[in-house]
Amino acid sequence: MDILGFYSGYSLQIGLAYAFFIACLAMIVSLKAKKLHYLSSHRGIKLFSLAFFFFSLSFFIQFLMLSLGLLGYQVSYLFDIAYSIAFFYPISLSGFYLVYSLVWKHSEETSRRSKLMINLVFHAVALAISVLEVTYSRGWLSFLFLTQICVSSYGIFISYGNYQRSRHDKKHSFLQLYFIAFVLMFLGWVFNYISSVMQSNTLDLYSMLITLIILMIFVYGVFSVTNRK
Amino acid sequence: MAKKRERLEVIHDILSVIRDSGNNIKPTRLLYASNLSPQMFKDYLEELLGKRFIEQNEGGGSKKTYSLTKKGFDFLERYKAIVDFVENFGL
Repeated sequence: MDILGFYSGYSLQIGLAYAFFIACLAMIVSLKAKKLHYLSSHRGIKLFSLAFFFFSLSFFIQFLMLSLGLLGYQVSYLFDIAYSIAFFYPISLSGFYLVYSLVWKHSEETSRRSKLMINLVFHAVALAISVLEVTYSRGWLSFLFLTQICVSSYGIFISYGNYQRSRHDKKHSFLQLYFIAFVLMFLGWVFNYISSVMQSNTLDLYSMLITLIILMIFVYGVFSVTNRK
Repeated sequence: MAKKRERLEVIHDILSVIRDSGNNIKPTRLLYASNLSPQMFKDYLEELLGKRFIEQNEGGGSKKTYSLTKKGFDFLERYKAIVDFVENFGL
């Protein structure tokens, strides 16, 4: 079966189903974490939950946009720009919050004011990246992809450190998978980046598959850890 | 020297003391059992009251006691899962 040919022929339908599925998986992870945050008020859990909430939101927005396409609606140029910003903004935020959930303990944020400042900075930077991506990104210059490649590289470094510290502890076995998820995240962004320049359906498919695997890892992690007796 | 307790552990210890005292404990007894300085105890108490893990009961003759709410009981029940989640996700 010619998978590439099939994808090219049905890219809108596949994209629609994929966006919906990814949005649901990410929301499941976010809500599971949110339940634990409600009980614990643990800041790291909240940041983790927010990361997946924004990731889910971005793919839900993509799902809505693709639905319009499937229904035959013609959108204006301005609407297209607004959609792009609406998609890039939460996806940027999700990367920031996910990595920050690993390092917040080492930051100086103690007061409500400093927490608010950090949130404002994340939102401002994510919005700036989204606007720059839409207005100035050309060829190999992509603010979104390059930022997320850097963010996921940093995430690899942090998650590897966590994994090494707990390597012999069977209770923390998921830390290894978390590190693998970050490596895949990095690869996914690299494939997305190259694909955006070279317009490659193959790399598109690879990055979709990688995103799916990453989310399955997190769904597995969240359910296996929270259901332990 | 004793290891510094993490925030979740301190909350667990305080709530456990309340539960194990028949879910009704006087502030002074809770302070001694919590093994915290008076200022830290006050901070944690405010947090636990504010986030509705515990509630304050006014007895006869303005005798104040504390007891767990449903959220407090749920926290104790899910404590292991919460700690596992935090440690397994490096949060």
